[in-house]
Amino acid sequence: MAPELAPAQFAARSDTTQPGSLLGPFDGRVTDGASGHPLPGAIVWVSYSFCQGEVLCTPIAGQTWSGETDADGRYAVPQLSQFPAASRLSRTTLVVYKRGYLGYRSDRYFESARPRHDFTQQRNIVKLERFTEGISHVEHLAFLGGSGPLRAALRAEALQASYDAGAGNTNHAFDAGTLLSIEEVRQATGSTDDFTTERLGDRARTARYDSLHFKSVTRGEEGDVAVRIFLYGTDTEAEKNFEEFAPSLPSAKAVDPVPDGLGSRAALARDGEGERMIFGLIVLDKTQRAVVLVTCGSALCEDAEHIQALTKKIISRLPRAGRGPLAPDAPGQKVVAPATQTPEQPDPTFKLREPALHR
Amino acid sequence: MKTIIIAAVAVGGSSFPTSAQAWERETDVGLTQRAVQHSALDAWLRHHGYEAGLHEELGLRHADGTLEPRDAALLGQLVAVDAALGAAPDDGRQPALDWLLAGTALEGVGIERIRNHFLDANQHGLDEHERLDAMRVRFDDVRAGLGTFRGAFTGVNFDGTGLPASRWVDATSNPLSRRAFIAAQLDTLRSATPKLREAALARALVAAGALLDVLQSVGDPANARNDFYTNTIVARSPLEAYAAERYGMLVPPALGKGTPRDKLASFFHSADGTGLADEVGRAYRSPATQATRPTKEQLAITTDALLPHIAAQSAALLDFLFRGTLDFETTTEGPIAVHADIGLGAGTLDLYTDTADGTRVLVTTRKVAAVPETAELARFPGVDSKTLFVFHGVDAAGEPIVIGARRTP
Repeated sequence: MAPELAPAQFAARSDTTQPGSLLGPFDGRVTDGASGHPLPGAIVWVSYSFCQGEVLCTPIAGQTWSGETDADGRYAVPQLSQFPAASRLSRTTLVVYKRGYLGYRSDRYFESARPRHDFTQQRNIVKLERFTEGISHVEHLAFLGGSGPLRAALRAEALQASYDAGAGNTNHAFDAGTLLSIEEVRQATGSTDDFTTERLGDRARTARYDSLHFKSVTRGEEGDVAVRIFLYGTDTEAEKNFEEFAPSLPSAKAVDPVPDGLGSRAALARDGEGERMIFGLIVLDKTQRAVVLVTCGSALCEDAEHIQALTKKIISRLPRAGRGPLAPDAPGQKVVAPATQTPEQPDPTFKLREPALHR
Repeated sequence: MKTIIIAAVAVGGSSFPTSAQAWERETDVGLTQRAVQHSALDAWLRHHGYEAGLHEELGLRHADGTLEPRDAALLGQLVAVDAALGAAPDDGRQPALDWLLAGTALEGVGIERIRNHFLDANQHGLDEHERLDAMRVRFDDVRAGLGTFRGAFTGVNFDGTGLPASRWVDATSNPLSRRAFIAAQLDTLRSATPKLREAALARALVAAGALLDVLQSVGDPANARNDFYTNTIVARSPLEAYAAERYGMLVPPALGKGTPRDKLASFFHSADGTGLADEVGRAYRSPATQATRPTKEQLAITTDALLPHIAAQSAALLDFLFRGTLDFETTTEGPIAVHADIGLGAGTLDLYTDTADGTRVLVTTRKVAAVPETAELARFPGVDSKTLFVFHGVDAAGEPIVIGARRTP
């Protein structure tokens, strides 16, 4: 006995307003969005979701079907013929995927995440756009969902997403995003501003470096906070770098004595004047073998106490930053920075934003 | 009653509500996706040897292809999850991220779970019997039909009540509770074979995903205001339907990471009023407590503000669940000193080693007293890179915790 059917949110064909059927059959053609050429071998995957209950329709089962487009880019999904007893077919989702292209879902667009209204049960036209640089594999995978052959086809992309997350380094575990939240910035400074967060663009995240940039939504960079964190193999190495960098900061003065919770050594610096002034606080934490540089605009950090409060919060969280195993600390072994960059060296200027970055 | 159903259908576009939870399933799965992106779970997985992090494939089957009965039962439950959510395992196997999503999807299925996803300003869970105050009109409206609705809950003796969400996460009756998570996390470290440990990690992720779902549910104004009727009986109430229609699984990104907390219950309710249910119950009105039906613009403003905030709190919860690392130091006397990066309460420190055939065996176990953050936990002689340290007990806040670590050679 066929299940009860929820109304389909798609038309039977493009030339009619007659609603389609969640049971199918479905057919259509997949082409390259730019050239119009048919795309053979694209995965076509369909998920059917069944529920049960008169008012509360509780999901009870799901079924999937998968196949590929033929040489002419055409697909044909047979009508569903087997169903759980006494159920309702509440949703049918069709996904088309071909490696190198943005996937297609029958219910939603990828770019805007908005509902799709041009899917039709029959004679459906699927124009796949090329997957271009800059599109997030993580987002794309989250958009497509899927299981079985679709998931298998997405495996390469999942590995790419994994590579992206690890920046190509499987030991890459350092994530400064765990160190400070927007709410904590507000609490420490008394600000009521809204912020967006992102990484600073001045150097890439590595196993030993990460950054955070809290960008004020309503102010310029005088309302921003930037955090740079450098990890080292040994506390000696961390201290050596601190000693090199701290004096190079503008108007830097050692903080002495170092307040509780502010690491082993610290120096406070200032750049600019008046409303454009920016505080900088560089801290050595020998226990965590880390140097932390926090810069904070004067609209947010009105005095040194504010920037100290922010930095203390970060220091207290350093052990929880998802820091992965570092290189061996063999006696006498020197950790050499990659030839292409010097990630252990903080930028002594107080640039909160790179020139290329815009709101 | 009829008017509300019709109105809900008009917004939702479907006469068959596909969800009976707070947020609809794609929204909840989307919130978990966003939470993961702001959490350190990927790093945690890599740190524990799962080199593809969130995309590491984990299977429930033993090396001989068999399944433990509990895993077979889990797979049986996951059959109900729409594969389009990306959380349906293939023959008991899927990436780590998808196990987490599966837990989130699973927690939203069935009245026996969702009845426990409420937490109002008085820290009460769902209790329609006590609602004789401002809810009287609404309650009276539904009373006549409630018996009929109850009849729809096949096999469930539903009486309009549930545990407060903050208690449900630790309830013995909850199969996806924190207790289940901790047990699975411990098995992830100490089980004899890699296959068993892999299966345990999948179970831990399912439980973690379920816990995230409970928290995300109290981020729904109706659940933070105990409006079971509107939210569940009518099922597609306007806010939840709008969120699902507008975003699907691609909900707006998390607003950074939420406030770290030292107790699980504090994510839901805290004395300073910053728990998620506190904030949402205070700041948002649910359909049943609104005089007029919200406009689409109001729904958009609400979801755009709420969802990123919920995802942020969920991210903080995820890091709470997977918190803590152990560190080691070779002392001048020779033995290895063990430290934790968070304060610990009393517990047990187990040492395991992997034999030549890869079997993990217990070497020794030691009771350890409470220590503050980074203080020395214990010393052990003769430890090599094959030794795995596992602490299980409570942290300084008295919350259950498992931490495992291997000394880097």
